[in-house]
Formats: sequence, structure tokens, C-alpha cells
Amino acid sequence: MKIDDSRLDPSLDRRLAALTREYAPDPALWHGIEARLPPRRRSRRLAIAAAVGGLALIVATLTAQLQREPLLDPGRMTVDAEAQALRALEPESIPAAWTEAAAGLESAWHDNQAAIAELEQALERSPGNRLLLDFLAQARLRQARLIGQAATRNSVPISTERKIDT
Amino acid sequence: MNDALARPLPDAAAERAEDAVRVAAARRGDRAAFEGLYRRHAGWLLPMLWRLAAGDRGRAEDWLQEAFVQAWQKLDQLRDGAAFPAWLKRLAVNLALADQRRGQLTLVDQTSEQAAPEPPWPAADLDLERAIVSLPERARHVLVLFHLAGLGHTEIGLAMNIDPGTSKAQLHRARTLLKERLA
Repeated sequence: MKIDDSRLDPSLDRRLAALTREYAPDPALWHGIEARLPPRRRSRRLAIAAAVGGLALIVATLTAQLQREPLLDPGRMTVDAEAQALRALEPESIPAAWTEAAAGLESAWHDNQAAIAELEQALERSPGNRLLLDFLAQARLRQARLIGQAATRNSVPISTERKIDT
Repeated sequence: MNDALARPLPDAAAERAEDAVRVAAARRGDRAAFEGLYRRHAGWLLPMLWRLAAGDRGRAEDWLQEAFVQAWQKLDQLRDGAAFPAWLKRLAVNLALADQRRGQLTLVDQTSEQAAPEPPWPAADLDLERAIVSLPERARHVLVLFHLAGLGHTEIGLAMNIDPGTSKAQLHRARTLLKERLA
């Protein structure tokens, strides 16, 4: 049995290829969709895992820096104690609000970074595309804002919610 | 992949990048960005769904809405935001085929003497549109997925849970029936 006879009937192929492929749906359809969209929420397990990962990175960086360049000023004892306290933290004892906020920022940062990478690739293919350049500028501004927010938030819980022996 | 429908747009790379940006924003809960994805992609999805639904416009619109609602819910599963159109197409096709398999909605009786439905768009080839929607279900699905959705026989086999060889046979059957009806 002959299975694919498309080459023997170019007339049918032409007619199939000419069929309508685009048709704008009734505008009311979008409103129906929008009404059914639930709020997007990240999984709590993912948020906690991301926060713990971020905390581990901070501790590792701080510890390595202290070992490489011992501080000579009177603040050294305070920083050492803070590093010890951070190492001793159990994931369960991290304030929930802090972990969620940190995870949200980190997630947004990663999403934004992925978007920046896509835009840069697209710009390599279409240099000078004003729309892409505009998107890229917005994405970089957003990245800067996220980093600023992260720096602000990371400093608050350590100094206000943790008791550190000095 | 059946490349017959590959769209060689000059700005395809820019469109892919814009999709990726919108997907990233929608993941963060930006509904306006998701609406942008809908505005760009619903237009090519609806004719395909209308033909899969044998010309039942209400059902095709239900599938379209359900596909976008599911896309919103499953956005985190999409690794490459630029691949949104292909991902959305698979989602919509699977949803449509599963719905027809379940038979949750009343099927159009393909052997009835009722006049074949007309598409909601101004059809340039009404005879062919009518002939397609009056095909037997399996043959119609394979024909629409191959010629109008751009899927290959392996992908069609996976979507319809049939062997790729069966997909080829159904395509042959569909084309033979079309030729008979259009003669």
C-alpha cells in the first residue's frame, strides 16, 4: 500500500497550504481566560530551598574572606561572632518572612537574568533592533533594583532578629 | 517535525526573544505580559482547533481558553520561554485530543446529513474546509496535525497514542477521501 502520496497530488497540497491559518478570536474570549487565571504562587519548599542555598553562599563567602584577610580593626570580633552565628543557624530557624522574601528576590533575579541572556542573543542576530534594546535596558534596570532590594533586606534580619554574642 | 509550516519570518528571532521576556514576566504573575502572549498566539491556534473540532466553533473556543489557562498554570514547566509557541501548540493539541477521547462534549455526527459548518473566517476554499471537517475523526486529526499544525508522524503518533505507521495510513486515507469529495 502506498502511504504518502503527497508528491502525486500537488494540487491538493496547494489548496491545503492556502487555507486560512490566522483568525483573531472574539475579544470576549480573553476576558473569560483572565477571569479564570489563579494568582501565581511559588512553592514554599522551593522558596525555603532557595533561601537556604543563598544563606549557605553568604556564609561560605564570609568565612573564606575572613580566613584570607584577617581583620585588624576592633570590629573583627563582632564579624567573627556573626559568621559563627550564621554557621550555627538551622534552616528551620530562619524567619519565614525573610526566607520568602529572599527566595522571591532570587527567583526574580534568575528569571530576569535569563531574559537578559535571551535578549543579548537576539541582539547578536538583529543588531540595532530598537525594541530589543529597549527591553534590554528595562531588564538591566530591573536587575539593578533587585540587587539593591536584596542588599537592603539581607542586612535587616541579622542585626535585628538574631542575638549574637560579641 | 513537519517543516511545511515553519514560518520564515524576518523578525522570528525578535519574536522569540519577546516571547521569552513575556514568559519570564508572566511567571512572576504579570497578567499583562500573559495577555501579550495570548494576543500573539491565539490567532493561529483557533483555526487549527476549529478543524480538529470538526467545525464546532464553541468547542474550539473552549479548548482555546482552557489551553491558555493551563499554560498560565504550567508556565514554570517551560524551561525555554522562547519555545512558548511550540509548547502551547502541544498543550492545546493534547487537550483537544484528550477531550475528544473522553467524549465529554457531544460529538458532531460526521455521518449525518446536516450541512457541514462554515468557518468563522471568510473562507477562500469553502469546499475544502467542509470536506476536511466532514472527514472521519482519526483521519481528520492526522490531516490537520500534519498539514495545518506542522507536526511529523512521530509527534502525531505520540499525541494520538498511535503508531507512526498508523498516522501515515490515516493521512493517506484522509487525502484519498478529500480527493473523492472534491472531485
